[in-house]
Amino acid sequence: MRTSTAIFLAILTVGVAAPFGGLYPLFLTKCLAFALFACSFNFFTGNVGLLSIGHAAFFGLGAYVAGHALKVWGITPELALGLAVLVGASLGFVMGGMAIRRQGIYFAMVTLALAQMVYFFCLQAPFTGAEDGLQRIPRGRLFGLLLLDNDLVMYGFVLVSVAGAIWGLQRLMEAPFGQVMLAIRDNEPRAMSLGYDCRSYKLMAFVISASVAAFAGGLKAQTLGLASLPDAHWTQSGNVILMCLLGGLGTAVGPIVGATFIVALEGYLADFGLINIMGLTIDLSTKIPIVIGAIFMLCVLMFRKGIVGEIIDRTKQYLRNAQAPVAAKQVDTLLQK
Amino acid sequence: MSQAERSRAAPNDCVLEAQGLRKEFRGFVAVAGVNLKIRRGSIHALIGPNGAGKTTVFNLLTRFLPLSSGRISFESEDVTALRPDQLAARGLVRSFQISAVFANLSVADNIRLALQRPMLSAMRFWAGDKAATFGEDRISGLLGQVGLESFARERAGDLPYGRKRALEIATTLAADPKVMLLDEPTQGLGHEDVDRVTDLIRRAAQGRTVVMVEHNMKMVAQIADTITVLRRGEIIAEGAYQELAENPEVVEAYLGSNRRGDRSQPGARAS
Ligand SMILES: Nc1ncnc2c1ncn2[C@@H]1O[C@H](COP(=O)(O)OP(=O)(O)O)[C@@H](O)[C@H]1O
Ligand SMILES: [Mg+2]
Repeated sequence: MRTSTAIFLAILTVGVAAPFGGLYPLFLTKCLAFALFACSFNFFTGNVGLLSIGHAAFFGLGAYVAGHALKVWGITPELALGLAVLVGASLGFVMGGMAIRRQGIYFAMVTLALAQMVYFFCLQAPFTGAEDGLQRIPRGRLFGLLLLDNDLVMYGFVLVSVAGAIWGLQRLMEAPFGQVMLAIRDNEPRAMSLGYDCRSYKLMAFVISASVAAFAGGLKAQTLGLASLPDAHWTQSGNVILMCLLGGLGTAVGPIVGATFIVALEGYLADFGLINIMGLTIDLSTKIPIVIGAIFMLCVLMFRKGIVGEIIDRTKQYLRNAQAPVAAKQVDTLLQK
Repeated sequence: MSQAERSRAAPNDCVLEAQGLRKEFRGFVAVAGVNLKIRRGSIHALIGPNGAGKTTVFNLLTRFLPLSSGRISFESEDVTALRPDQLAARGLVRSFQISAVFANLSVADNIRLALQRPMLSAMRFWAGDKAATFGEDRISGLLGQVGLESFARERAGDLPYGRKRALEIATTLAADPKVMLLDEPTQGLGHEDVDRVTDLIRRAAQGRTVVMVEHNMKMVAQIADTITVLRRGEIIAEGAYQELAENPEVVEAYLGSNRRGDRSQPGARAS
């Protein structure tokens, strides 16, 4: 079985089982939206090796566009989300077109600068509701038929969409396109000397990544009924970088694990953030960034390749020690790409 | 085709031509007005001391570096404005002085990448399966030519140096170039590997043109039809090996900085 198929089935299985385990559909929906956001970021940065600090722009704009289309125009959700994807792709094309020529840190700076422009646009534009954002966005009727107001129904829709989108991203990496991406990351001049137009390929990967990030933002706005400035703020870009590094950048399932972990942690701290150390009561719900920062530091110090990356490495190590190099390679191909 | 026959065949059929190639790096002139004519089907060696500008000439010919001035034509067409990948797609494929393989791909996938490019439809490129896409027999055939059959599934980055160079040549061949430019293909190789690579280049040159930068004069003497000697960015001599071996200026340029054994000097042979 292909890794893409395995991941698709795993997400659906876990996703269907989770509500029975007592987890709230709304919480699970949020996890899924951020998992998709993290996967979109990983698709570009994990596979191309250029750091984007601009992905919040796609996520945020996707949220605003879908939110506006649902609330003001009242079109059906699939069209609203499709529009968010189109806008994300266009913005990705413009931003990528300007950034992709740059190397290393300069690429990161250009994406950050352009994302900040998008942020100020969101702050000033007449239809984004400035500081308040777009609130009480209706979820609409899917294809004009299925009302999504029920949290469980909404969750089902998001589960299928996210599993499908993550499948698509992974499947692309298993096609010759993915091989070319990995080759470019390994040695760009060599890929060029074999006739591959590296710049176009990187731009394509960036546009795909931006579209999916906008889709994730749209889903998030639709689910929570809210599109607001924090979605487009640069800290959201930092957030998604952190999710991927925590789970394992460049691995297929790492971003999903990392995103779920962070969203769960935020939810937990917000609800049960009061801790008592030696008679001193600290309310951690107001200090979530500090806690996440500390966990991130621990993670970087203890397992550099992220949770999933580290598991892959240790499994390979174990199999190699057990004189099973063939199995080690299978794990490699199964989990890494 | 013997060397003599090859030299006689169509002396004016020139596949790659450079006129007045010039490259300055912030005022430092690395290549100062080089004119080159590469005859179709020949093996053309570019020699000269370190820092003479050989790699830079390759970078200019393959459009990896912008020109300060000059003109390049390939197959009688002006290609000065093309990008490296466009030129490669037309059949001008280079290798690199510093070994260049796709380290995280398997040896077979390295070859597959070069083979597939001109042949994949858009559909297969985006939705196909990478492993099922290409005839394993062509891949193993190419790997066999360089003695890498048993390494097909290894990660390319794990190969020892000599084998990486072999893989690089096989990958270049897989792209089926009209002209292949090899930058020091035997650098850092042991005796046996040098012989094998020499043999390989000779065979690869059948039906195509080879331009190579090479320090190993024994090898150059064996297979090159024409040799161009470069010093400080300028051509100081050009001709067959025997002619150059009697040219005192060439001998001087070479003895000046070449640190290899005396036996490999053109001058040493002549005296
Ligand atoms: N990118 C570059 N920037 C500045 N100087 C360079 C660059 N590439 C090459 N040079 C200089 O140009 C000269 C020729 O280099 P090169 O073509 O690599 O020589 P060769 O391959 O003959 O040993 C050298 O003096 C080198 O330092
Ligand atoms: Mg050189």
